[in-house]
Amino acid sequence: MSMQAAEQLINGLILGAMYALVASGLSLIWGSLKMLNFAHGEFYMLGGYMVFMAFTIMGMHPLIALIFTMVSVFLMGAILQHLLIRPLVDKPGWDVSHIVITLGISIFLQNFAHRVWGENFQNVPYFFNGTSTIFGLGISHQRILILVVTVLVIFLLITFLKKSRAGWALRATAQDRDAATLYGVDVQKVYMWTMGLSAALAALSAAMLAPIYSVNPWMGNAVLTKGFIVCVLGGLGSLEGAILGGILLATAESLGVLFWSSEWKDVVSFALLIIVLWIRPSGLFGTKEW
Amino acid sequence: MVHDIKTRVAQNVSLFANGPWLSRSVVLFLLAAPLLAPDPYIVHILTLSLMYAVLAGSWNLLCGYAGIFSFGHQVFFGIGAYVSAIMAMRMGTSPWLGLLIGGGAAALISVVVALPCLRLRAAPYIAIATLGMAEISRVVAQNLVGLTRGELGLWGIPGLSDIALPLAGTISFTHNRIAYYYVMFVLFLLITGAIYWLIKSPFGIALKSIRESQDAAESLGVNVALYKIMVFIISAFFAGVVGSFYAHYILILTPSSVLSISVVVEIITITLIGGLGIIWGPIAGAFILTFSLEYLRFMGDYRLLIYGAILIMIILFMPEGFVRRIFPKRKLD
Amino acid sequence: MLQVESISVSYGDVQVLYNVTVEVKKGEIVTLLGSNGAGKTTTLKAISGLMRAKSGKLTYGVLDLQTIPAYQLVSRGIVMVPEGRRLFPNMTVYENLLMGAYHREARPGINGNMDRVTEMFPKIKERLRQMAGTLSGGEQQMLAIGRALMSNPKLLMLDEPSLGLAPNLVEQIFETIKDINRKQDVTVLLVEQNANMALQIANRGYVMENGKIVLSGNSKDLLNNDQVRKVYLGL
Repeated sequence: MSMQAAEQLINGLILGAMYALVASGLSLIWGSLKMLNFAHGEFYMLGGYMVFMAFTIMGMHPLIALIFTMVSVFLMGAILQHLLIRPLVDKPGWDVSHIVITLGISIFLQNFAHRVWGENFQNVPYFFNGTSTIFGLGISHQRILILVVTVLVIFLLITFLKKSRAGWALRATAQDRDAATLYGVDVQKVYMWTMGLSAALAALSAAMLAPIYSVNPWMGNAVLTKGFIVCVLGGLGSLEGAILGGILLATAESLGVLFWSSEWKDVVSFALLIIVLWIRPSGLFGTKEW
Repeated sequence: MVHDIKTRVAQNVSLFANGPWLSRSVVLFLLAAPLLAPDPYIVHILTLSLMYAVLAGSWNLLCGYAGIFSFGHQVFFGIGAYVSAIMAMRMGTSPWLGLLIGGGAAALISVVVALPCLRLRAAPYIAIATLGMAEISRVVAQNLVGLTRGELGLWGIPGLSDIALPLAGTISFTHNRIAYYYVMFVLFLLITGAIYWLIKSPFGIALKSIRESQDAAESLGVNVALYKIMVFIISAFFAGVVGSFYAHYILILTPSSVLSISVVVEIITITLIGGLGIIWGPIAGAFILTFSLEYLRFMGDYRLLIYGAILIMIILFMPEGFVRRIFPKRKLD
Repeated sequence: MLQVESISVSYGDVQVLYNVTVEVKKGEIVTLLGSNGAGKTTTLKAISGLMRAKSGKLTYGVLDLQTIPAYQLVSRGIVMVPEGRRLFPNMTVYENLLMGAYHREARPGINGNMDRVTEMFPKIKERLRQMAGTLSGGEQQMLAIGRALMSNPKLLMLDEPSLGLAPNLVEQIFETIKDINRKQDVTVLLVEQNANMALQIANRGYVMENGKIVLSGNSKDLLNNDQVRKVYLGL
């Protein structure tokens, strides 16, 4: 395998990790609330700005900054859900109304960020400097951090969902909301925590990538579309699907860059999306709800 | 005595508001508007409002009446614009013909867009599918720089060519905003009239049945797939015509101005403000939004912030839209 | 124990229950009969808080049920086995049972309950690691009842437990319900279309038609009632 291809594959893995985190959040929300969160990209963006504030401005230790970012965006997600989404959940027309309100939130947050932090790209320094050589390839410590943290977080997430009482409440709500209520689950609270968790995952992803890609108010747009594509690929509502789909898409994109130019790689992902929706709308692991 | 007069006035106002004369007055007002306020800036805003009214109207046909929540309507608008512009610039096609050709190109593309949507039913899936296709078209337009000049912009599009009218003589469109306004007004009448006629026809009833329940419609013998394709074609054609007009009015095009998500976001906002699924919804919404945004121009950078807040407020507190709120008792669709 | 006084319920603008009054005394098995669309499920939904009654009173002992959110009813002992079972399809049989004991009050007795339920339903015991969505109809019904038992019910409401089951399974289900009532001291409110079997195990019954209660009385009297015999028992 050529050096170039190997490097692209590593990039693909990093990208896949990011896609997996972002898409996991989207998938969780789709599963329990039955909604597409069009503001998901903005939680990602807020994550970028929170780490900017914490690390660059306030000078926290990088790991503390990451935790700060996750917690603050978690709260933002939970509060937004409680104030703005909750009133619509049980009303008719939810199918359409949720798209509209998350769209509105997205526009508001983008421009809010623009007002507060300005339109310039903000730089965040690397958390850890230096590189290591693994299998003859030089990989920066930042990238290693991304891989390690992502694997860890995903592992924690899966454990949380499979083993903890709160995780069961989440899964039960996603599978049958009424039955969950009948057996003692406060479904509204679950919705709130789910949104917070989803936002925190996106924020973490942005925070770790911030030193590589920098931060600006519109960085959420591209991420959102990719998030949707990954979720559809893996099957909306399936966590394993989101993770696998993320890796798949990232690999396809990275390889695509090798063969075509980078401007066309987006077309590759969108085309993949259309093909999946055309042939198998439920994706790899999804349920038949399309 | 005074009480009688008050009641009489109230009755007459009610009769006026609830009869066909309200709509007719609005149309008459629109007919006369540029003559009442000839300031070119205001005429421009009026033209834009009409444009959005028709564009949103075509989307309303797709979403409000047929229940297809398309997030990719900008494709039809953009393709109409680019096809008409490029043909006029490279092959010397008359922009007037371009209006039809733009519409036709959009209609053709719409068949491709409609195909994945035949199987999908839930609004979120249709939204993603149509969004994906729209984004493909945007990126393609950005990358085919030889044809479209990408983000550098397609400059120097010819405006509408002179026409000779029986009573008015030859009309030149160069720097003639009022003339453009009346062209858009005629398009508005034709397209809105066509949509209205369609809605009232058996075709329209079939569309509504699909919106309510695809399964029920299917079991009643409605060829759901065929109707979906047809409504896409019709809706796209109208959007394409508007796009073509836009190209020959504004005279510059970039992929991010006519093929981006912001176009469909604006369409959705407009339709919801006015009212989804009713004829006057997009029209009211277009005028309300376009004029409000212009009025808010002094707020400069806060404009878009308010835009987002408006969307949130509308869906939370007035999801039925202004028109239904003001006329709750009228049968509007 | 349970007092439903004159409740009216609507779906949007359409009213479906008109002044429904039902009483369930401690230790009884009461059955709610009626054909499709009579309003039986809606009545249960109103009691369990999944739907709100527009008027009327719902009391459980001294508790006004309308002041409590639906998800808190199970901790008071009001448990429902919903129509269609409503299991968690992508969770295992074991996890479904554990979800029955999700609320805090049921946690101390989890192990004891688990043993009891698996003993009652040996088929369930065999399939603990299987996904609930892959079970057969009869097994699902048993799992649904097992899940309900895990929550330490005092008032157990069942919505058409016999629906879609083979006759021998139906008998088994009704035997199980009778068992639960006698041996575990659980009061039962049973909604059924299978009037014959329901009246055989119930103490009292109500008959609903078009959202109203049209008949009530001892099950023996109802079994002998001409109207009931003709319409619901096919005799």
